[in-house]
Amino acid sequence: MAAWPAHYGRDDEGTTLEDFPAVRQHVLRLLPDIARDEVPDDGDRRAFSVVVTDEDGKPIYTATLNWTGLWLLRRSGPRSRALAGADPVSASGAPSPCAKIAFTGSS
Amino acid sequence: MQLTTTHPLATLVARLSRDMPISDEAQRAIMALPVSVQALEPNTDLIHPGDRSASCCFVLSGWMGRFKLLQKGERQFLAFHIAGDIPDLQSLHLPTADLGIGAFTQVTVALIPHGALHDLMVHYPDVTAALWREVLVTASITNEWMIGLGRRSGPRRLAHLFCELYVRQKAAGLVKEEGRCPLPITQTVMADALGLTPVHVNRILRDLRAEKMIQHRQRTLTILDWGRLKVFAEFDAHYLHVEPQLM
Repeated sequence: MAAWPAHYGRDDEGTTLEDFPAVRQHVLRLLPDIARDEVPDDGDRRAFSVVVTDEDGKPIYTATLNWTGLWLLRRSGPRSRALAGADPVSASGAPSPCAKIAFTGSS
Repeated sequence: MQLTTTHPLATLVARLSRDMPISDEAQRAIMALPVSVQALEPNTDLIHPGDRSASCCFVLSGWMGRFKLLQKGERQFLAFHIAGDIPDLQSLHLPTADLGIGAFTQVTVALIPHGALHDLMVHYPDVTAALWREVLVTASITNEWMIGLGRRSGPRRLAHLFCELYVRQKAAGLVKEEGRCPLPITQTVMADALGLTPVHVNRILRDLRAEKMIQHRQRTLTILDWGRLKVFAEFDAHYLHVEPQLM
């Protein structure tokens, strides 16, 4: 099994969070934002973890967001267009149907 | 016309006439306005949402921000203001503030009563035009911030903000050394302007530093590669409506 590259960062300034719901809310905002930035163009398996510590450095909460992407059709050559972007044009010049995105919900 | 640069109203004249023609007579009338200069401590608010103010403030020095707080204390900045800005022009016609205005740093403002400004505008339409232009440029900047919140990624939002603050300060004569300008706001403040968390801002700053695009140290922003930063941020200074050579 390949070792995933791990990137570690500490927040220099620290953020004051008043209570436990605020901690969770903060992480809930943070993780998807970071994942959106940092899932690389060629990477379809990435996990992002956050550890929140108290003022003394003791861990009090952790959450992990996993991104797993998988192409379900055979791709010929590099394709860099986002699904919802430009319509692929077929040889006849007429636009092919766009992909439809369906959300299947969460467990 | 000889103007001393230390008089707060002289600074206001210079600022308004930078972008719009103001007659000598109107300039003299501006110089004759009643004005009181007020100093603000860092992290204090001048205006709270819902306040009815009786005057407009003109920033003489320091940095201010317009903001709103939500119920659980979540803060959003709608604008940053530097020396030469008039953050609350809307209070001339909309006397109840919908946003708060606060000082990030030590700030000095010149407060001019609404009545005196209304009088001035009645007699000098070129002043009205200049003030109207200020409001339009403020709106233009707000539009650009909204575009960033909607469609730019976190890193590009921050890069764009840095480009903007550099060009605005250059236009205001606050850039002493090419490529370097004051940036006396914390990562939390940046986050609250950009719809990000401070942890994320911290990470983005670290990445921009590693990419050798910027440096932020001791409240100073150094732009190491203006060309690359501009391209990365998709920054086009047109919306700031300042002198072309500054872009």
